[in-house]
Parts: sequence; C-alpha cells; structure tokens
Amino acid sequence: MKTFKLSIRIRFKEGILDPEAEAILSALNRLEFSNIKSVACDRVFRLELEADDANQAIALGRKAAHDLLANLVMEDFEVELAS
Amino acid sequence: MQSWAVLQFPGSNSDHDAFRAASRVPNVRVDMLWHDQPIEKSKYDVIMIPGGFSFGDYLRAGAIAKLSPAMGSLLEAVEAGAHVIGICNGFQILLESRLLPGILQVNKGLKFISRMEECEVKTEAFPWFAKEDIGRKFRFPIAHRFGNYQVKDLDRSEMQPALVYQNNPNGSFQSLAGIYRKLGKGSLFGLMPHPERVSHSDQPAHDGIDLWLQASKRLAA
Repeated sequence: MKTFKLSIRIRFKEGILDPEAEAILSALNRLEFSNIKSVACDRVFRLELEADDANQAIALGRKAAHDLLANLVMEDFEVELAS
Repeated sequence: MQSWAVLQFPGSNSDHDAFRAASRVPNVRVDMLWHDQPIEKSKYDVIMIPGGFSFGDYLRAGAIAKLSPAMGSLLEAVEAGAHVIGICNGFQILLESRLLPGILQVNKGLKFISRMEECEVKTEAFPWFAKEDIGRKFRFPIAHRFGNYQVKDLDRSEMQPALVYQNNPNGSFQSLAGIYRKLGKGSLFGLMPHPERVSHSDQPAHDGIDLWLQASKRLAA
C-alpha cells in the first residue's frame, strides 16, 4: 500500500443557478472589474489515502465523491492525483 | 392508539416542537428516536423528521444525516405503512436520501428568511390533506437559508405538488413549499414551512394544530 494525495473538485452542473456566485460577480463588477463576465464557486476536497496504485486511489476517490462528497443531482466532480 | 415518532439527529432543533405538537393529539403516543438505531418496521403510523441543522449542515444540509441507521431503514418503514413528514432540514434529508426528487438551493435573495408565509393546499396528500382541503390556506412560519426548491420535472404520477407559497419567498420552482409522494402503503411529505411551531392554542398563530388533528383522524378512519 502506498499513500496518495487526491484533489476532488466539485462544481455545479451547467444550468444550475448559483446565487452566491452571481452575488460575487456583481460585487466584482461594482469594483474596477467590469470586464469579469462570469464567476463559479467550486469546492475542492484534498484527501490522503492508501491504495495499491494510482488507479485504485482514483477509483476510491471517485466512489467517495459519488457516494457522499457531491450531490449528483446538481453537481459534477473531477478527481485528480495531486503532485 | 396511534404510534408516532420523531427522529433526532445531533443538531436537530425542532425535535421538541414536533414532539410537543404530536403529543397533544388525542390517542397518539410519541417516541423520540435517536438516529443511530434502525426504525422498527411496521411500528409507526407517522414518522416526523424535524428541522434544525443535523450534523451542523456540514458538507450539504442533510448529506451526513442520510447515512444514519435510522434513515437507512426509513424506506422499509414507509413501504410497510409509515407516513413520513420531513420538515425543513427533514425535507433536506429526504432529498439527499433521494426519497424525494430535486434539491434545495440557497434562497434567491441569499438571505436567511424567518417569517410567516401563507401556503395553499394544491393536492390531496393522505393523511395530511384531503380532497376538500384543496385551496385551503395555512399560515406557517418559515426559517431557512436553503429553501429554494428546484426540480427538473415533477413526475405527477408519483409526486404531488402538495403545498405552494402564495408569495414565493425563496425562488422555489412553481412556488413549491412542499411535495408529497405515495410509496408502498405509506407516504413521504417534505416541506420547508414549520407547522409544528404553530401548534399551540396559546400562540397567536396555530394553524398547525388542525394539520395534526386531521391527519390523526384520517389515519384512524
């Protein structure tokens, strides 16, 4: 078993309204950032886990995201091995 | 004698309101059930999942509570005949458990809203609403930040838009305040307003009392 570090990024699916991101966008636009056209607030989980190899680590990360970390009705996720 | 139960999670805060509201209904015995035990199948006529901040609302509201042994056994209890009412955080837990469709997003105005709202009964929803209740208006308090109910499509063959706001306070799809699903011999009713908090005759508003009384009567009939 080796230790791996994973980064799991959760983001709203296309078309899901995110009022928080909209509020941040309008605040940015009120400052000198009128050229910023969109904002998305993603969420990143950083995990350390033990696995036989990188593929198994990623598979475990995907299962954790699927079962708990993301709500698949409204969110998508990406799992990456952290360097 | 009917058996009703109130589920309790760490962070539930309307559990005692629910308990007191149900305790005042004649011929109803109420149990408080801690989340770490499975629910006895076929024991309860009504199971109340109360409001609050189960597990601190960490991750997402209801996301951790859905993993409890009590929630793991809920579906069986419903199929055996229990009628579940999930109020506010209880509704969020039912959505996270996928027992009801859709999601609750942050309110459209981003603010926590705590005020009375008028809600209208749209469909029959045994035991909570009968046909003659359609069009009836209740005044219930709401208290939430994540109450903006969104769903792609409510499959009317399975789900009923049971309760709608008169003045959509949070941006919910079709002003929905509560949805109802018949399942097996039981049912699931998820709603954001808090009828259990207006269930005492000494309160200025007490529209909740009749909800519990009528449900109990229909269950006894």
